[in-house]
Amino acid sequence: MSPVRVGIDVGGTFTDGALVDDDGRLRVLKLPTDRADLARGTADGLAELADRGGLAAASLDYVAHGTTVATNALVEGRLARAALVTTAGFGDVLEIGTQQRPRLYDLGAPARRPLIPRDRCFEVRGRLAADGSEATPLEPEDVVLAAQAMRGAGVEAVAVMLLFSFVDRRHEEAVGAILEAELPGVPVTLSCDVAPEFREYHRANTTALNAVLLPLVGGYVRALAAAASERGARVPVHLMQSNGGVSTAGRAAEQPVGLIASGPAAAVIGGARQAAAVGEPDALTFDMGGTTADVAIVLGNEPLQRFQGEHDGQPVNLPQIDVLSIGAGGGSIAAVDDFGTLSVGPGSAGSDPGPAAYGHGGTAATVTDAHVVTGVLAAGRRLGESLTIDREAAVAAVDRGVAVPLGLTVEEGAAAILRIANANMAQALRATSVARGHDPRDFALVAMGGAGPMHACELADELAIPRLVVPRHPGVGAALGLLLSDVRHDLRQSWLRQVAAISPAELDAELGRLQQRARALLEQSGHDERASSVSFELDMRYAGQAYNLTVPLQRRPVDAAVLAAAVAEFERRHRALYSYTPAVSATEIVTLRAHAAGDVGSGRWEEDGGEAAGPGAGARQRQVWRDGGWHRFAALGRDELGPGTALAGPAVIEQEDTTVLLTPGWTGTVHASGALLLAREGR
Amino acid sequence: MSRRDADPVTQEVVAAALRGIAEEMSIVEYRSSFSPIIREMFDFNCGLFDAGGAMVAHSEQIPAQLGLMEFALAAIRERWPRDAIAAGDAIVLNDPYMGGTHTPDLQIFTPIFAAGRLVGWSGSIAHHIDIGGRVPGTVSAHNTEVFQEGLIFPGIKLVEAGVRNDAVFDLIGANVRDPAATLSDVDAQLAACRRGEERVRELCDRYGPDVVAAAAARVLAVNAARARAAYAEWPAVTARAEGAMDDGGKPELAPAAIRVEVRVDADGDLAIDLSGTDGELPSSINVPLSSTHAAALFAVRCFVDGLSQSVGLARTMKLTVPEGSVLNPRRPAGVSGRHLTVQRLADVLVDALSQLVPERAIAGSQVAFPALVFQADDDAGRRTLFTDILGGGGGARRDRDGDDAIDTYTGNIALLSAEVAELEYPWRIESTRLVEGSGGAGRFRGGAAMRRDYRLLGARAEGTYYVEQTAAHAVPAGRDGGGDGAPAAVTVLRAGGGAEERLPSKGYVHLARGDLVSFLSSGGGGYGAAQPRVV
Repeated sequence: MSPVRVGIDVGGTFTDGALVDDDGRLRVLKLPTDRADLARGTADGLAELADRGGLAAASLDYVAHGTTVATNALVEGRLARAALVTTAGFGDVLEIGTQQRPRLYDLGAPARRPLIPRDRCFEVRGRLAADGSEATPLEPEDVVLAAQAMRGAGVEAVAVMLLFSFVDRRHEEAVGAILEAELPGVPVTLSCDVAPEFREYHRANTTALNAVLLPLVGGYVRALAAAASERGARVPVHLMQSNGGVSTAGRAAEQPVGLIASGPAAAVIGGARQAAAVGEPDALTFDMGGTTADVAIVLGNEPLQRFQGEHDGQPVNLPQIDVLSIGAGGGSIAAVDDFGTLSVGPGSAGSDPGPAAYGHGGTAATVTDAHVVTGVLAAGRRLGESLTIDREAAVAAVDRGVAVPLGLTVEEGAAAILRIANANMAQALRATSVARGHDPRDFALVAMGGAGPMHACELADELAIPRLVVPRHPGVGAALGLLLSDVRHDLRQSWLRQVAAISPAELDAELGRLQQRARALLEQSGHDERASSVSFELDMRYAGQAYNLTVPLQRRPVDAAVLAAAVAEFERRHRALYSYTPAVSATEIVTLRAHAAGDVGSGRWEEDGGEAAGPGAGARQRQVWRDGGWHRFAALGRDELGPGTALAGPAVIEQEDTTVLLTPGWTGTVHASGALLLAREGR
Repeated sequence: MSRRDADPVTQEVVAAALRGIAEEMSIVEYRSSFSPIIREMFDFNCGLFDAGGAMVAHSEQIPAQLGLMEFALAAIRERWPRDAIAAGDAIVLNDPYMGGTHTPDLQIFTPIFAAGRLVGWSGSIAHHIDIGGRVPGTVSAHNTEVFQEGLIFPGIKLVEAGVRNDAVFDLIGANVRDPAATLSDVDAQLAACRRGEERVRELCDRYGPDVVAAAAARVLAVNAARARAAYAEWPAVTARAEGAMDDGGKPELAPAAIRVEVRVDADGDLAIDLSGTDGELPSSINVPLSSTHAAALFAVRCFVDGLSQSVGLARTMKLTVPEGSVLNPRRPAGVSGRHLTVQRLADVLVDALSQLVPERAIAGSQVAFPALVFQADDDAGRRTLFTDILGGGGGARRDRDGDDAIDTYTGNIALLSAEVAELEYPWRIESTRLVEGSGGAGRFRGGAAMRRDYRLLGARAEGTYYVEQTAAHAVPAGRDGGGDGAPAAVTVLRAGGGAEERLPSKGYVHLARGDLVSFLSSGGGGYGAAQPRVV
């Protein structure tokens, strides 16, 4: 008997589920999302999953959940009535922001919209200096007066950002204590808890975002627990955070800003873990759905993190998986302007009406329609429970929207749409790799999402990527990722020092404090030292630079050799990235980082997988338009491909949740996990 | 390559790749540069050019640096004929009278060879915080000659066939105030150019140089066609606008005025005639011709939709700028403070274009551009150059208020973080606030100005500062009955006692520990007459 484990990812359109039953067998599920009541829909999904596994909801041992509840609240503006407390002189910190314009050539562009309006921003006297010493004592009376005004204004949550609180917490903690006494029941977020790094605007905004999300996300977490319990599921729910690890629902409700990229993070973890299982430690996960393609870099089995991000125009300084979202999906609309230029996206037909081929009234030519016209998606093919591919509608849309304006045949028009879509994605992927100091050729591409496996070969060719992995269930990557995630907490501390002036003991003591905080968080989720680990990294730069490189620290306690090794690694990486070592040689530490990981027993199951079929399955064939003509492609069913089956393009492989296109020159085999491992000949 | 590969779709794919390469160059540059002005304020740009020197792709940092590198490249191509150019060369230029802008903006170009022939150029322009000269930071409105403005590079080889010209690097190091940062930033520019070279070569290997050239030519042609299609919708009238500086860069000089006439001409091009503009000044707020073009490109791009980039736009604009005017000065007029006048020029052009395209009309925005470069030693004896630039009010639109506290027009520079200021420099920023009531009144109000207070923590500091729109005649103008924005100002409160003292709008100041300097930007103009509100 193995524990019964469930991953459930609730996206804007679909809810994906995966269940590993007590025999260790995997079942996957795709349902429409209940947008009217997310908590109810998620609980229903849990019950449905258990039911499909022939189990009662009460027998679930572990539940991990990815949610868009925080993201939706931000995008839809359903935010709490929050207040901000700042150091005197900085009450306009959210209004002023960086003083930059988001759209340089649009003089009519709407103004920035601060998360907390000016009339609910309060200044308090008292200031710390950059070294943490007290330049002016805190005036508690200012906080009391602010609290009174907040009470009058019906404030539901408070954010506190005082200057240099990342060096010393005492003023912020004092303000927090007064607010909690004056405003019982109103949650208070301190910037030194959420984002202890320098740059006041980014810290204030991250703290404000946490405050405005708190009431709503807290409510969701409570509603979900109640709804799940009603259906018999009493096990606590773990929530996926933007950093690719799960945390207990309680902790997540305290730091909702950490949930802002929950869904995309789960899919990246799914891709990364499945790539690792087939021996690809370095991978680009490529998750292409209806409206966007999400891309992330995986290095040594771990997704690359970034420490700042922007969500719906709001900067957020929080460790998060570095997911790049490109406006290219199956529903991306292709159009030709008056000057004969073909563009694909970022406009999308979405899921309603969707591509013309869905037959739901869409008339614009989309990427999906181009796949239909070129024969990759077969006429009459059923997608999900309610869709049948309408080839005539796709032909008409591509002809009218693209082929006629460009003077091409409809097949040429469709091929043009796919080329432009692939070129756009390749461009974005290359830029994102380079900005992070990597060359896409050094990675395997992991194709996920409903559309990813149709583009993977050609995208890989565009980027000279040599190898491809198509997981067994590309359409439910996020749900699988939830089953494969550990508990993870990222802590950091701004600590600006020149390396030459650091004593290893002093650094070690600071890291020790981080480690204590990490251990305390792990204990909350019931992880003792045997079931968890804490690792450390340093953000470093040459004195005078603003962009850091993050390098691992070998071990604690830190001695001179450990510090020297980190510096050497920093220098090596800088040289590799930028091809030169600057004339300035002093190195600095900027931020200390600790990563706490708690094992939740993630990660094994058996596939229902097919028989070890021979290549005889390739007897069926399909006409596919490529390189200016119709060509014969083998037509295979994914269920027929047992482990060890040899594959060679040209071929089209159909499965319930996607279609895999193998273009000529790509060959490979089926891995024991059911994943397709493909390589480009001659590379 | 087959003929099919030169079709419009292939060309679009290649054009997207060129834009991607320019963006990649800029990433390489800012991530490895040292001066805050590049790494935090993004005061730089990267571009790709065809073999004939036309810009075919660029990165998108601040508009002030955009679309002007063609001028420097033309001078370089003239100075170095084809047979004097070799693979591995890198050429540096900053001479304002050879297509450069002001001297702190170093432009570096490297030729791109593919299949043994010159197929184009890779280029980078970046503002260095100091390139030597009379004052720390090089820039001072009070300079009277370009010779006071630091090193001048007339398009010389920094690297020759892959071999660094050490003498040039040594010369730079000996002449600038922060040699380590400047030399590192030059290396960052070189790394960006090399990346561009490498990527364009790969593109040529894949598609062939002819297809790449055809794709580049198509981008230029399509963008030009788009611009002309927009002009064709505009009324056949001449729009006139003018605006004046506070003074002539020095208080004793009369306010310099810019006057423009804009109309769509018989060829369908946009004729921008600046003939009425005042003559060049014995100060440094003159604008080199290349920067005048950059301001015009910015303004026009704001009124034309659908451009993939600024490339090709210059072909549809006919600029008339009299030689010897403040917008096309003659050697050796000073130019380091040109950005103040560039912003005013953008404001005047936007005013004129607002008349031609009333649905996009906007009231005047801040061009005050309060900026400072202060040199101070911290208590550890380390010398620092501290710089900051303040945004101000944006003009109100027909349908909404102006933006509060933005860096306007051809700038888009981030405000320095108060915590960074105190962590890295002997300065404490005591407050950063919007100024209530500073936006012009109207049906829609102008954006608010900002005030920032800087206290010196070190023993002594000195340096230059400048700000425009302190005079009543120069404030951001209201439109269609809207009120004007409030003026800008600079003040100092000495630690030794006394009242807050108003400083001249541009100057050089000496400060002692505890002194408090305050900069106030200007508010944006309002739009439409203010009407009594119905409760």
